[in-house]
Amino acid sequence: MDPSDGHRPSSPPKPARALVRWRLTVRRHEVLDDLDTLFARRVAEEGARKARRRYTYEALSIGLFGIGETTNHSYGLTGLIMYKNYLKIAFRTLLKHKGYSGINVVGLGVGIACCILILLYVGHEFSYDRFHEHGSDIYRVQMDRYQGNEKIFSSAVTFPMVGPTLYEEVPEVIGYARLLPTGGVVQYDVLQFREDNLFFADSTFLTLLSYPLLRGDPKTALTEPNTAVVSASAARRYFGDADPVGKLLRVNGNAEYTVTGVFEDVPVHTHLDFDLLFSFSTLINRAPASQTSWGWYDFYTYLRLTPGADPGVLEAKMTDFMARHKAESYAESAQWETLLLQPLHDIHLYSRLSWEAGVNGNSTTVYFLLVIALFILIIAWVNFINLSTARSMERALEVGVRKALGAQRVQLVRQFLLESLLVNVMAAMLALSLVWLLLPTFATMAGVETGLRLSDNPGVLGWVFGAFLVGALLSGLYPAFFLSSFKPMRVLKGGAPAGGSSLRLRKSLVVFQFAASIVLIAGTLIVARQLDYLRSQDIGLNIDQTLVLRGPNVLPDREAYPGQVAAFRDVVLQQPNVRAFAASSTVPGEENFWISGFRTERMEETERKDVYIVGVDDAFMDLFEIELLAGRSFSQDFGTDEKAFVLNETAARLLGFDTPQAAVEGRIARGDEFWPVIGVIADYHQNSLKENLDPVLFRYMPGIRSFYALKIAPHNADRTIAAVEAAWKQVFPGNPYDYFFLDAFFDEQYQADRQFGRVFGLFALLAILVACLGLFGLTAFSVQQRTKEIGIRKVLGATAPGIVGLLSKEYAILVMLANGIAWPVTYLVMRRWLETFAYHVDPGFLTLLLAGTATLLIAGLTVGYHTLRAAHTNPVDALRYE
Amino acid sequence: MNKGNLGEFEELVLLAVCGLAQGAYALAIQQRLEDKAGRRATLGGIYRTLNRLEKKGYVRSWMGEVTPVRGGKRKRLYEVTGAGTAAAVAARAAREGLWEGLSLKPALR
Repeated sequence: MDPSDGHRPSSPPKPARALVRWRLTVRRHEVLDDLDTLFARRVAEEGARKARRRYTYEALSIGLFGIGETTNHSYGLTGLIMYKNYLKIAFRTLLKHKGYSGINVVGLGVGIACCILILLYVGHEFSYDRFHEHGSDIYRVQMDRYQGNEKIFSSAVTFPMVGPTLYEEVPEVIGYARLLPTGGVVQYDVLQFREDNLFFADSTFLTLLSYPLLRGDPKTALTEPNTAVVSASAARRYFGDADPVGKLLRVNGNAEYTVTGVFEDVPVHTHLDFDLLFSFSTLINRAPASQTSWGWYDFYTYLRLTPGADPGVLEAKMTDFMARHKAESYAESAQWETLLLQPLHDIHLYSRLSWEAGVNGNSTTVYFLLVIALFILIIAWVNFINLSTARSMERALEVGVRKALGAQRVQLVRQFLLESLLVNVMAAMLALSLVWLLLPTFATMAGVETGLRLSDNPGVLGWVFGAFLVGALLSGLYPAFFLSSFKPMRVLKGGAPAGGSSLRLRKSLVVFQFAASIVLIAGTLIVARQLDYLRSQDIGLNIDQTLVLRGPNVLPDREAYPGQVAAFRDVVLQQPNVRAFAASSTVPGEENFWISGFRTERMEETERKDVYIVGVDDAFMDLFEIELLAGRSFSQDFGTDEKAFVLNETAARLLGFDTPQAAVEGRIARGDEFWPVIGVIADYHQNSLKENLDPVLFRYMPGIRSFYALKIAPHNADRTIAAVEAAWKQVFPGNPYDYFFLDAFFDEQYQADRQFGRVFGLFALLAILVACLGLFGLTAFSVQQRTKEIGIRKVLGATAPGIVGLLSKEYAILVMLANGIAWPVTYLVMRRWLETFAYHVDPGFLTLLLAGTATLLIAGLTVGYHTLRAAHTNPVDALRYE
Repeated sequence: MNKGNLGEFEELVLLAVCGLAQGAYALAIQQRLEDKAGRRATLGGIYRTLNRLEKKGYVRSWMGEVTPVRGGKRKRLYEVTGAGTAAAVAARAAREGLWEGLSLKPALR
């Protein structure tokens, strides 16, 4: 045995010893001696570690239950009596000053309620995709495409070969699953619905991610071609109570799928929403490229790595990986790709790629809200501290008398802490009732109608409880120590107990409160201005009074389609209220997935540029009132337009044409066949103004049928819609009639921002409310304290306005100071938010000024109530009060 | 002194004090309980019980003299009073009365 080890003195654990020492009084020493002896014996018998553990256990037992000491000195009993007394006094004080207690409880309550609401929301946002069993090992493949050194896009989808090849070549990849989005009309018997959330999924998908099957075997459900699994609600939709397994679903009138399983409805908190999954093997016949392609990127690819594998190490190899597998195409093009791995848990909050599977959350919003919650809570606690110290004059006498009668400082601290705890408990109860009341409204406002419940988030409640305890202690400690520090001699003689330091603290806290309020108010105004700006911008085409129908998918005879659409067009245009009809592959507000590389005659094969493609008929440009800059738009009169292009301005510039006119003389090609450019149109916004303008190329495709746009008269819209429906049913039987108004559809893109604005505004309002509550209480005190001064001033001839000015000046200065702090902060923070939009306003000096003035005004009104009253009291009343 | 029935653990501790004659102090009692009755108890529990017994007047205690064994530390010594002995005997009598005519064997599992 190592001699040094044997000589090392092992001592009992200090905290345990301290616990016993603290708990006991008269018998302290003998018990400690006994414990030490026991410890020494156990060290010898069982070793130091075990002995220390046993010692702690013994000490805890004594610490918790005591040893039943019989002594008059134990303050267990007297302590309890004093606590009862503290509680009684606390209640009396609270009831005596109902106004101030009310301000404290309401202010704190509102603050805590805000905090809980925000934490619930934030908790919900962070809960996304946490339900997957192997979630922390699962990544989605992100593909970045470059042209030379310039990144063209970051995409959520990639080539179908990426998943299987990585699985074969990289040992860390132990599983993969691919999804190919699709959509269309699903039909069972006479029932038919248009489904948007459909995917072709690898058979591994159901086991890689955790989507429990209610019926069927997750391992084999999607292995066979032409099989499908459906969600529980979709199963009810199509089959009612009948057994879904084995049923046949028709999709778009041609393909048939056998239902092999039913999965639980996809939970709200996932980035991936789907109602039906079709087996990937179906694609072997329908789209053979899905089995081999390194060029078709429409596939969401999920990988499972070995636990603990570093995705960074894998990412580092991806450029080489792609170069190896795409050597041929890289040789003839300057474009190249690399792959990144997105942790599954981060997709909802942090991923903002092109072609996402759904609308994701926004981490900036979430962190903004967290900061706001913290702000409001701090404002409320500051109120509490301010009001408690402001009342020090009043309580000074009480403290003096108590001390003179032998109260120890510890006891006074305990008393004040208990008082603050009481206020905090009442506030917490108020907060819980507020949350209970407001939760449904707030959930709607924040856009999470389902999935926001107190009971689902025990974690949040734990946090709230912790924050509440810490807050109660912190906000109680300062007043407790401050109040209990008074010297009895001085306060009993009637001297002022408070030094200047507490006044300074109070003032700086007020400045902080108002600075925070101003930031929130100015922030709200800026968010509102930005949204207004976005919606009032000219998007470059007219989407008003435009009814859009989703085109027919179910066509028994494709050859007959041109006749059908012509018939439909004729019937519809005969309606007096329908002014124009156009068909296209996409409409504004719909994300365009159709993109390809193009070049001009002057460009090499390798210099091809990615341009979005929109297929249109000859009426499209006129219907949307798109401005033609050069050349002409499509027309069936020429007969050659199906082999011609119209470009938008950005595309013309991207392809190297100096002017629109120059473009019209040029020819461009996707492969080797060059087609003439016949026209150039002014840019318009396909997507919201958050995004930049994309290069777009239009092709004349009379057979295009994804969307039909109808320009209709503003009056009798209902009748028009019904008339169009009748025509639809007649011409396209078997297709659901599915329509929307384009302006509302386009506006939906701003929904998240509108929600953000509303939530931000609500909390700004609450913040200023709580801050004003505090200011209201503070002025009440300062006015009360200066009653005599005001009386004397009035006797000596001061006017009421003069007095109001005198009393308000102090607070006006504080609010000004708050403005000085708040403006730069707001400017910097809001500029960051605004920069997430491609088109945005400036934070703007005027907005800041407006917010500042508003706060000054609100503060003035708050202070005004008391100052006016003070200024108008009869000086006799003021001077007679002694 | 208030008399009361002996609790189960009280009875064990009281008997341990009886059995230790002169040298009864908390650590020794703890040891004896473990050795003879197979009961592991914390010191705190033993103190609490001794204090209760003392209040009932069944044991009395005093601070012992310094002995070299404990490195010069003093310890509290316990001794059974007359009432304590009587209580122990009464408790035994009560049990034996109940045991009379019984022949129990632990059930086999």
